[in-house]
Amino acid sequence: MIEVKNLTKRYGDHLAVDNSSFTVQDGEIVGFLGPNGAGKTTTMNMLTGYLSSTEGEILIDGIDILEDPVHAKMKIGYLPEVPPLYPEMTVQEYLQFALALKKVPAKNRKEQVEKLLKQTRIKDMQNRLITNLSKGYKQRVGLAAALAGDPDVLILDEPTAGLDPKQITEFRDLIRSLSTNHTIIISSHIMQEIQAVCDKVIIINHGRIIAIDTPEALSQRIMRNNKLELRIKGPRAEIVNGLKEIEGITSVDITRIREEGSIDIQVETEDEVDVREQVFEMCSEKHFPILLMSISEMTLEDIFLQITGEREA
Amino acid sequence: MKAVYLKELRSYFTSTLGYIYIAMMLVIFGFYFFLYNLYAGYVDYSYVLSNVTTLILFAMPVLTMRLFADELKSKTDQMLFTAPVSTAQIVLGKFFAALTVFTITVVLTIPQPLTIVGLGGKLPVPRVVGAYIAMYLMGIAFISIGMFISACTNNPVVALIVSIAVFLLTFISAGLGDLLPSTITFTVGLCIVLLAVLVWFLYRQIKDVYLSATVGVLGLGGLIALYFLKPSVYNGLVSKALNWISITARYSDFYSGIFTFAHILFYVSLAILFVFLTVQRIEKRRWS
Repeated sequence: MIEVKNLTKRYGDHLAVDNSSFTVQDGEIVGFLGPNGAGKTTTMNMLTGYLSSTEGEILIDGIDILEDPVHAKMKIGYLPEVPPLYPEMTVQEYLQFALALKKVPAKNRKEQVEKLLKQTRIKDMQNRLITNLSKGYKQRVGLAAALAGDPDVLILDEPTAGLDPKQITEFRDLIRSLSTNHTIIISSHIMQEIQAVCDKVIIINHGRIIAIDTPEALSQRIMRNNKLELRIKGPRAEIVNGLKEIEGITSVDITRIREEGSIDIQVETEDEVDVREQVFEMCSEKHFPILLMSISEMTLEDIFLQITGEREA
Repeated sequence: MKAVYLKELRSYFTSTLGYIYIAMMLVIFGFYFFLYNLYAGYVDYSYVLSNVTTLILFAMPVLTMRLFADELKSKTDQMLFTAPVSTAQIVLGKFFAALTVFTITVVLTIPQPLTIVGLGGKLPVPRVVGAYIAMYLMGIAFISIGMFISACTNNPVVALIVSIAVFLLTFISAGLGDLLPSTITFTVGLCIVLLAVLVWFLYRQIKDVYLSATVGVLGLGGLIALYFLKPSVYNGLVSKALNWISITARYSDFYSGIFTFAHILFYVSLAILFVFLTVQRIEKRRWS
């Protein structure tokens, strides 16, 4: 379990992290979400003992990272934003070094390297020099090093940044498979990323925590506007007028035209009013075929913009 | 510490740097060996050991320039400083790795004096051994100073240039003292300037105006009081001080056959001081 109490980091007059408190339970996957420069990396650097905090305390399974760094660091595997790789080493040599740093006895290292290679699926690369690896493989080697010594807690700073979509999916699966026996903290500025893997989201902006919740609860909590996406075939003006006459609809916007002879419309309604049946009846009455109708759920992006907007207003 | 030591030692030989360093050192030694012993025909190998110091100044920073600067540049320091290893162990691991490469180089020069013996020359063994010890101790001091400079920047080339500049300064400091005026007024003036620099540095570090000012006023009072009460203290103080900090001036005692424990202590404590300062420098980076 990770407990963070009143964590603050000051660089001169600049507050990088401002009085943050949160806890992470064993086995949870927690996502730090925030724009660039929000203080995600600084917080992670303090959690791993790379930077010290100006104020506040960090307890890893009850051990203070500043008072007993050696024992606290034993429990943590860290993958920084830029994986700390030595280009002149081979993958195998690098993992040997990572295990030695984590104080794994020499006689177990060979077998542990095999395990790490298998776990992160880089066995084919074991004798290649790190400098010759692609970005995706480098990221995996970094993750393998973070897993060295079997730490309980994994801290991954933007682990999928710069990977291609296929690699991102693979990396996500890897993280999910690790979640069964690790506590994981991930940071990202991409909402879908966090939504896809995390049990809990911590939203950070300007060094302050502005919300802690599950991704679903966050969506519900802030779902004020019901938005409906429609694609209807028929004359443009009549469709718009027909929709505007339905009670409860507050705005009708034509978003784009995707199919010949039809228009895509986004409809906003009053809170907690379901207008789908009325829309269907209006259209069937006038013989406008509905090609598509869906409720647009708020993405974390919307939530994020909304929360940060509220705070600033 | 062992993990860092082995990794660092290996990196000297997986990159070209270790080989470049050893080649540079052997060329320097070989040049003087050829000039003094083979060409001019002197049997005393300590001449070689005393003269190489000038050129070693340029080779030693090659050994230390990337110790920390490179890690900071490529951010691999994040791996070291988030590992369950103390900062002191990391610093010592790196220090001993550089020391090992230096030791290997020194051992590789031993065939040179043995050649003199093989050619039938009568080698003054105690003098040569003394000069070897002195050269080795000086090398240790250079390594720890170079390591400290490497920890102050994230650019290995800057570390290289600054190290060479600092080593050159210690090399010429003894001569510099004789060139500066030795009058009491000049000495007092220089002391005041040094005090001002010290106070400014103190203020930068602790950001406390009152404490820095108190130190400044007390220091100034002390200097003035000394000027009136015991002016003889200032006599030749500058050249004495510069001689004292000169790493190379002590070296000449060794090769002229004088073996002083105080000099050994000077080199060893200098090395320990800069290893300590390196640890402090890295710790400070975390706190700022």
